[in-house]
Amino acid sequence: MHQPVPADGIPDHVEPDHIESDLMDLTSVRVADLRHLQTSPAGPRLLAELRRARHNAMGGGTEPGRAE
Amino acid sequence: MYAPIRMPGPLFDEIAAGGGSPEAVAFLVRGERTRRLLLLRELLDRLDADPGILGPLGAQPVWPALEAAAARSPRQVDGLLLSPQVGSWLAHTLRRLHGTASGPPLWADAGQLAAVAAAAAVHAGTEARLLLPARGTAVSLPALGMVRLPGPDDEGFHTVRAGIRAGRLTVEGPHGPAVAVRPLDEPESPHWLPVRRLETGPGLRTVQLDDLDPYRDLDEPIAPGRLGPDELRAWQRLFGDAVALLGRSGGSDPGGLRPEDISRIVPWQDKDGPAGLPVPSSGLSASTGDAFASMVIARPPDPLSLAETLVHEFQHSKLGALLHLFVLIEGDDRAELHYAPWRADPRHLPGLLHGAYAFVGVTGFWRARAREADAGTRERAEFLFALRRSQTRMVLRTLATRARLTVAGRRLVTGLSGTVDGWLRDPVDPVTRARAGAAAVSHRVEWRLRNLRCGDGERDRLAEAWRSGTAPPRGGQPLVVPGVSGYWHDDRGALYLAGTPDAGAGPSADASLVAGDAAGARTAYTALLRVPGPPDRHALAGWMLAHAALYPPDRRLLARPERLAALLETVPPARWTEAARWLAGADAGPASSPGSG
Repeated sequence: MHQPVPADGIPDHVEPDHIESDLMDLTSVRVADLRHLQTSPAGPRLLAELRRARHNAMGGGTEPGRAE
Repeated sequence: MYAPIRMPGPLFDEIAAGGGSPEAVAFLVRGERTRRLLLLRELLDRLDADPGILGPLGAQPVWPALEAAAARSPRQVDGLLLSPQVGSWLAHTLRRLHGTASGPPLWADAGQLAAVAAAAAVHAGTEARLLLPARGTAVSLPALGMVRLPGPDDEGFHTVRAGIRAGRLTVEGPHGPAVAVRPLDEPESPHWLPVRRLETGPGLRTVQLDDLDPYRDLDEPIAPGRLGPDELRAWQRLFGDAVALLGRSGGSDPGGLRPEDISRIVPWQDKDGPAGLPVPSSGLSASTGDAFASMVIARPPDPLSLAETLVHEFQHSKLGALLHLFVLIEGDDRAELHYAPWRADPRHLPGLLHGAYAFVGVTGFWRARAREADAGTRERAEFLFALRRSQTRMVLRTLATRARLTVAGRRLVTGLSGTVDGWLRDPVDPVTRARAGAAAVSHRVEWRLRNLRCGDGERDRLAEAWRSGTAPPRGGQPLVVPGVSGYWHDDRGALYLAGTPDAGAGPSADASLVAGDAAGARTAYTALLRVPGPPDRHALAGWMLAHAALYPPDRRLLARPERLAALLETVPPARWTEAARWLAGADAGPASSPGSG
């Protein structure tokens, strides 16, 4: 059955299926432009994770102290 | 203001199923790039706020050097930013600034920013003059290599002057003449150690074999440890064979891997000698979310083991990247309560999620090997496929029922469960499946005996009911008491995997059990348990497994073996079978001809 879709490929009656992050998308930001951002864009979750002592070593084998 | 990152559902679902197309993995890499930019900006802001952090490196034009290189060669500098060396260094240095990590003098850690700028200038062909941190005679350039300066190698940290022009780096140390190298194409020499690379195929990205970078371990900087020529050749052979093996199946399927997606392998080094680890190093591997697609690996004995390890660790990388983008479990207190079939101790739910994701990959890997014609590995592969699919499914059920999953977390666990449920329908040779099932039960029973206890009240009620001949009381929640008996290796599981005991090895309780001689096994376990002192948990688990094999209705005891353990503490060995039958609620006689005890 033919079903017309809008030019952007997403039917207008269907919510686009995506999962939204709490990180801002800096894909368009070049490294050279990093200091030109108005404020530090790091989100609170990212900073909180960084401030925690390291715990996310992950490993194979069965030795103690790994995250899995 | 920037929009939030939005991951298209179909790409998320590919990762959630345990695999991932090049497009799905590329999306994760783009997320990692954003994270690295955020971390770099955070570090720059911290250094602006407190320039004294850089100590003897002082105020110098590090950012202008990096900015100029990035402006001229954005793609190359992006590649540098995404290198595992820069990822690990950035995260480590920020943790140091927050006081949650330790290491060399802080200025040396923070000052590695100048080495990043120098590496960027080399890539871009721009000009810069910088002070770099050096450790002894070593000056590290991330993802490029290491300059070796003349003079005594005292391991102390100090500064050196460096000039970069048209891809040429000149470093002036405190002793002897300056060293000039072209890091992008300079062959190895006494003054220049390039990062080694492993081939993945014609026209494909190579994989670093990094034995140099100070930030190549999981957190704190370590000294370089250049591999000797024999060890290097062994790695090259192993990796080449592992790549060929992985190439036989689809790289996007769960359990598949495109070797070129790996960024770096760090050969694990025995820093503290054999006594430094509580376990044998064989099979050891690890990775960190700070360094996407990088993995520390103890050189395995064969290509099959290496290929499995590569799949396993890359699964961790994918999940780590997904966790950088999305919260998957909410409000978790990281209480270490849960059974992880691949571990000796109880785990928290985030750890369980990591394990489930890694072992979906491992299960898929063995599934692919089981379908190959190589009879030498097919039986082993079938066993491991059958074992890991059931264990992973059990952990996914724990996550689905016990974790407070977010919408994204629920979608992930549902995707993984769908993959494993499909695999559970795959036919497996019945004998192999039974052996794998026995191995899974054996591990679980021993794990419970080593990590769980009945509460005192339940133990007393059990003993009283046994003495008075009334029905066993209902069970309560067991207490989690990890580490009572320390680390343990699943020796019985290894026997189930081997299928047959080692030729020449004498008969043992485990060997008898695995061979199907439950009566002989029970007798042997009983002898082990008659030794005075706390009961050997391995032998006790074996005794219970042998008992359940002799009395199949009593298999229900294996669901809560800690209850039987508590009861047996109060019962002489001569009456253990009777006590076990009573606790199981059995009223039938022996199913076969068990001996006493």
